[in-house]
Amino acid sequence: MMTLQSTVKRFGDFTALDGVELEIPKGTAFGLLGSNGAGKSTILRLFSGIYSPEGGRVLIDGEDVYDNVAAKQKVFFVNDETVQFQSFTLIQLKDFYKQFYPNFSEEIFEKLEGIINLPRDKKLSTFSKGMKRQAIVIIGISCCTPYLLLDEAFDGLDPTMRIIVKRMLADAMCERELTVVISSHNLKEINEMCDTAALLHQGKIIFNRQLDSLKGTVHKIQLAFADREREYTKEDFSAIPEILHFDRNQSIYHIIAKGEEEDLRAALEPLHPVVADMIPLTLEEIFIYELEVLGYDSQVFA
Amino acid sequence: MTARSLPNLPLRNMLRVLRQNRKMAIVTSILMVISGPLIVTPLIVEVIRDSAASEARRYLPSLEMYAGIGAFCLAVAVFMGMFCAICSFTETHKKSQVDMLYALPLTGNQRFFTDFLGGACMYILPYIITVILGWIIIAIGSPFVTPDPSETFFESDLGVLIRYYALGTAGLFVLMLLYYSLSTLITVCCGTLFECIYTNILLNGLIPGTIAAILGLISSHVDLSFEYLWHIIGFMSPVGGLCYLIYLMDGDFGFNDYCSWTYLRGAETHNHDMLPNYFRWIFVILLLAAICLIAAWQLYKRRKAEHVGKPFVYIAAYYVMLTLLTVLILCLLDFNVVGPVLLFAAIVYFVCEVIRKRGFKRFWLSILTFIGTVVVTVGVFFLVIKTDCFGREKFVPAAATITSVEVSYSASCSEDFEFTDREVIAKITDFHKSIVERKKTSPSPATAINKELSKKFLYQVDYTGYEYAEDTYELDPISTGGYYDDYDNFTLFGEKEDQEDPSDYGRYAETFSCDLTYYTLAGTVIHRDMYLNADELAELRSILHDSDLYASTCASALNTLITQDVGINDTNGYRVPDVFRITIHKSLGKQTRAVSGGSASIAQLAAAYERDIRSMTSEQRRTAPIYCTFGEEYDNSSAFKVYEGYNETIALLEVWGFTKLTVPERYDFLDKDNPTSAQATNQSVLSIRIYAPDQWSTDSLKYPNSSVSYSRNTFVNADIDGKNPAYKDHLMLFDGLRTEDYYPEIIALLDVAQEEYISEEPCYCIIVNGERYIIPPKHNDLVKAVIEKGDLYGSQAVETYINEHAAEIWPQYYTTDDQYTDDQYTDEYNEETNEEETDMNANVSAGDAGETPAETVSGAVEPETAADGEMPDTTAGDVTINSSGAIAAPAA
Repeated sequence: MMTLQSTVKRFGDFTALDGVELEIPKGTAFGLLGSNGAGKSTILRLFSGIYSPEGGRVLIDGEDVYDNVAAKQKVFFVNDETVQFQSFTLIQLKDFYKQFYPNFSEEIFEKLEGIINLPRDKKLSTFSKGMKRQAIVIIGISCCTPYLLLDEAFDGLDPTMRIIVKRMLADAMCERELTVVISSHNLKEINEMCDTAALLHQGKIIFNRQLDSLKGTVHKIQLAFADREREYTKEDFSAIPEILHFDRNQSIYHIIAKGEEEDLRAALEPLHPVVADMIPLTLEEIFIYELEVLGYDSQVFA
Repeated sequence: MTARSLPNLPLRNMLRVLRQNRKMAIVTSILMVISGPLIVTPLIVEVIRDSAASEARRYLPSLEMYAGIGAFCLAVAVFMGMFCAICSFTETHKKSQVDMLYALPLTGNQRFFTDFLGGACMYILPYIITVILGWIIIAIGSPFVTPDPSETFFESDLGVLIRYYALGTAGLFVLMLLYYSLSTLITVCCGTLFECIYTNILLNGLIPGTIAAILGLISSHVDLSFEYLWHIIGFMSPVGGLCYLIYLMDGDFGFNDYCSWTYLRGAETHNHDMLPNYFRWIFVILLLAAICLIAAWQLYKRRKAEHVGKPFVYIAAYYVMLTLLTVLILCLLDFNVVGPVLLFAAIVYFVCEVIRKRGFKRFWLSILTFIGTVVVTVGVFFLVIKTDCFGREKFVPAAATITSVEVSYSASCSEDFEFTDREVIAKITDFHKSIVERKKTSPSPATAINKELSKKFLYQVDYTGYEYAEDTYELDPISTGGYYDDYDNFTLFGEKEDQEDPSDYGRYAETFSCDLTYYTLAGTVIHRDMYLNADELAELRSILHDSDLYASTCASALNTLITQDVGINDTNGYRVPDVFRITIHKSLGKQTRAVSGGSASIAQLAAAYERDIRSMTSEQRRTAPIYCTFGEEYDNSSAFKVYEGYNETIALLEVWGFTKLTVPERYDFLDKDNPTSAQATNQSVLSIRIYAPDQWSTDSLKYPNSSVSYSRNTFVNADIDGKNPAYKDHLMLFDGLRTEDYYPEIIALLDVAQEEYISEEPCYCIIVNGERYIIPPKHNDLVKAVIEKGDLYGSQAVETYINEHAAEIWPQYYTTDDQYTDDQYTDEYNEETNEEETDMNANVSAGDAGETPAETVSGAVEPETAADGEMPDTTAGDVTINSSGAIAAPAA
C-alpha cells in the first residue's frame, strides 16, 4: 500500500501539498486528477523518493520511501519528460534499469518490445516523443516493480498505441497485482483505466473514491414545473443535500447535485415537477463541477 | 518471478556516469594517456644522448617538440577536471535528468560518491595510466644510458629525471584531486550549467588572484616580504599549487646548489632541503581536497531534487565569488585611484547582482551589501596596515627557535650570508628587536628629516640634477627608505614645486635595505624587509663582519670572482689557465700583473684573504687605509677591499709583483699632452674641494660610505640647508677642469686620505671628482699646508667663468622642462663646450703665463657666496688644480 500521512510539501513560499492524507491499496489502478499545479506530479515524485516531504510521511508498504533503497526498488516512475538518457539505445536503457531493479524481466521486455517494435540499437535522441514514451513504459513494466507511477503517461501516444499501452498495463495488473498510479488531465483515460481516483486542488484532496460509486452519486437533473410564471431559486431546492451547480434556461432548470437517485427524487417530490430527468455525470463533468464549487470556473473567462 | 541479487548498485551508477559522459571521458583519456609518453620519451632520449659518445649522438633525434605537445595535451586534460565534475553531477543542473536519477534505488550518499568516483575515474584513471606508461618508457630507456663513473646514480641525469618524474607526477596527482574536489564543491553549490562553468573558472582564478593582490597590498605597506607571503598561495588553491609545483621542479626540489624557486621561502640564492616542504605541501593539498570533498558531500546531502535549475542553490558560493572579485578590484585602491576603483567595483558588483536576481528585485539590498563589502574590506586593509599586520611585522622569533638566519643588506660586498652560529643568531635577533623597538617608539632621525622634507618638497631630483621624479613617496614609520626604490644608488635632493631659486634644494637622508630570513626549528620561514639608516647599518655590520662566516663567504666570493674573471667558460665550468692576469684597483688607478699557478694561486689568495679578514675586527677595518681592491672599480661597494692590515694578502700580492699604488700613479692615465681627450671623459679631469669639519657632514660618522655615486653620503652643510649656491657648481664642475701636473702637497694629502675613517674627532674632508675622502686628524697639518700654499687664481678664474656662463653652457639647469633628456643634454653639452673650450683654454693659458687680466682674478669670488658669507674661509675652501698645477681656493 502507498500512503501519504499528513504530507506537506513546499517549494519555497508555495505549498504544493498541504497535509494530504491518501491511501492507495495494492492492485489498484489509481487516477490522480486535478487542476494545473494541484500537486499530482508532486505526489508521484514523493512516492518515487525524488522529493522528501517537509511534513508528514510518505510510505510504501509501511516504509518511508525517501533515501530508502529497498522501498525505491518497489517503485518505477515514468515522468512527463522524454529527454532523459538521450545517449542510450533502447537496449542500453534496458540494461541500465535491469542493473537497478532485481525483478526486471527480459521476457516481458522482449514480449512488449516485440509488440511495439521500436528500433533497438538507435539512440533515444533519434526517437519521437511517442516512441520515447513507449520505450520508457515498456521498461517500466518490465522492471516488474509492485508499483508503477505514470505522469502524463499517454501524452504523445497515438490512439492505437494508447490502446496497446493500456492493454499492457491491464495485463500487468492482472498478472501480478501491479499497482498503477496515473496522473493525467485526460479524464477519459482515467475513466477507462482506473478504478479509483482522487481529485486534487491547491494541494488538498477534494475527493478520493472509486469511480463507479463516484459516477452514481452525482447527477445532472433537468426540471420543469407546471407553473411557468413562478421563478424557482436555489433555496427552493434546499431539500437536496449538496447542489454543485444550478441554472435556468427559460422554464427548464438544470441542477448538478450529489446524492443517490432515489434520495434526490424524494427531495424533489414536494415541488411536483412535471419533468424530472436524472442523468449520471461523466468524470469530466464531475471534475468541472467539483472544481467550480471551489472557484475554479471556466465561466470566469466567459 | 524471483528477484536477482544486486550487490553493486553504487558501482552500477558509477558506470552510468562513465557511459553517459563517454565522449568526454574518451577525449580526456586520449589527451592524458598520450601526454605521459610524449613528455617522457624526449626526456629519456635526451638523457641517452647526453650520456652517449659523440658519434652515437648523431643517430638520436631531438624530440623536444614532442615534449611540448605532450605538455599541451596534459594541460588541456588537467583543465578538463572541472568538466568531469560538472558532467558527473548532472542531477544538480539538468532538470530533465533529476527525476530519473533521484528515482533510482540509491541513497543520496551512494549517488554522491558514485557520481564523484565516476568523474574521478574519467579524470584520474587516465592520469595514472599515463604515469605508469612514463615509468615503463623510463625503464625501457634506462639500459641505454651510459653511466658516468664520476657520478652517483642520484647525481646522474637519469637520477634527476627519475626524481623529477616521481615528485612531479605525485605533486600533480594531488593537485588534480584538489582541483576536481573543488570543482565538485562548486558544482554542488550551483543550480545551472552556466553557473557551474563560470563559477568554477572564476573561483579557480580568484582564490589565488585575490590572495596575491591582498598580500601584495599588505606587503607594500608593511615590511613583510611579498615573496614569502606569496608562498601562502601555493598552499591554498589548485592554480597557486601548480605554480608552487612548477617552481619546485624548477629548483629540482632543493637537491641542487642553485635553487631558483627558493625565494618562495624568502631566500633567493641559498639552497635548502625542500623535500620536507614538498611533503608538507602534499599533505596540505590532500587535506584541502578532503575538506572540499566533505563540504561537497554534506551540501549534496542537504540539497533537494527541486533545487535544480535554481540560481546558486548555496548562495554562499556566489557571495564568496563576488566578495573575492570586489576585494580584488578594491586592492587597486593602493594606486591612489579611489574614485575609478570604487566605480569599477560597483559596476561589477551590481551587474553580478542583476544577473543573479534576474532583475532588480530588492536592489537596495545589493547596494547595502556592496557598501558593507567596501567598508569591511577597506576597514580590514586599514586595520592590517595600521597595526602592522596585527603586530606580525614587529614579531621577532626567539633565537633558540631559529636554525639559521639569512641576511641580505645593501653595500654587503655582493654576497648574502646564512648564519647558523648560535651566538651570531642571538646577536641578529637582538639587533632586529632593537630596530623594531626604536622604530616603534620614535622614528630614526633620518626618518624624521625625510618626513619633514617630504612635506616641503614635492619633487625629488637625483644627483645629476637633470632627472626629475614626479612622485611623492609615502613614508612608512618603520621603513625609512620606501621612497628610495628607484634611486637607491643616488643621494636624493628635493625641489619645491613652485621653487624659483634652482639652488634651493633639500636633501634626503640615505637609507639601506636589509632583509632578514629566519629558518625556524618548526620548519617555518619568517622573512622581514626593513630599511636601516647609516648608523643602524653600521651596527649590523659590526655584528656580521666579525663572524667566521663573513670571512669564509668573502674569501669564497673572491675566489669565484677571480676564477670567473680569468677563467675560460666551457661546459664543465670555468677553467683557469696556468698563467693569468689579475688587476688591483685603488681610487682612479689600477695595476695588472701576470700570475702563474692557475686556480691554486687563486685559492691561495682567497685563503690569505680569509685569514686576513679574521685577523682584523670590523672596528679596525673602518679606520684602516685601503691598500687596494679586487673586482670592479675601486669605489664600487661590491669590490673586495684589501686593507693595509691584510698582511698575508698584501705579501702575496707583492710576491706577484704588485706594488702599493701611489697618488701620481692613480692619475697617470691622464693624458697630459692632450687636453681635449682629457676632457672627453669625466674621470680624465680633476676637481678637488676641501671642506673643514664644520662645513660638511654625513648621515653617520660611524658609517661614512663611499660608493659608486658622487659625493655619496657626504654633504656640504650649506647644501642641506638649501642655501648653497655652490651646490649647482658642485654638480657642474665635475668635468670642467683638468690638470697635467700635481702639486706636492696635494699629492701628500691624497696619500693619507681614507675612504673610510670613523672618528668622533672633527675631520677635514676632501672631495676628488666628487668622491669623498676623510683626512685623519693627525694629518691636519697637510691640509693646512695645501690651503696656505694655494695660489688659487687659476682655477677660480675658470670656475668664475663657468658660473657666469653657466646658463649658456647648460641651459637645461635653468629650465623647468622636466623632459630634458640625458641624450639632449650630452649632445648640447658637447656642441657648446667645444665652442667654449677654446675660450676656457685661452683663459687658462693666460693664467699659466701670468698674463691673466686683473679683472679675471678679482672675479674669482662669487658674488652670492660673498654675500651669504658661507663659503669656506682661509682654513678650507674649494681647491682645483689647473693645467699648470696651480691650486684654486676661496680668497681669504
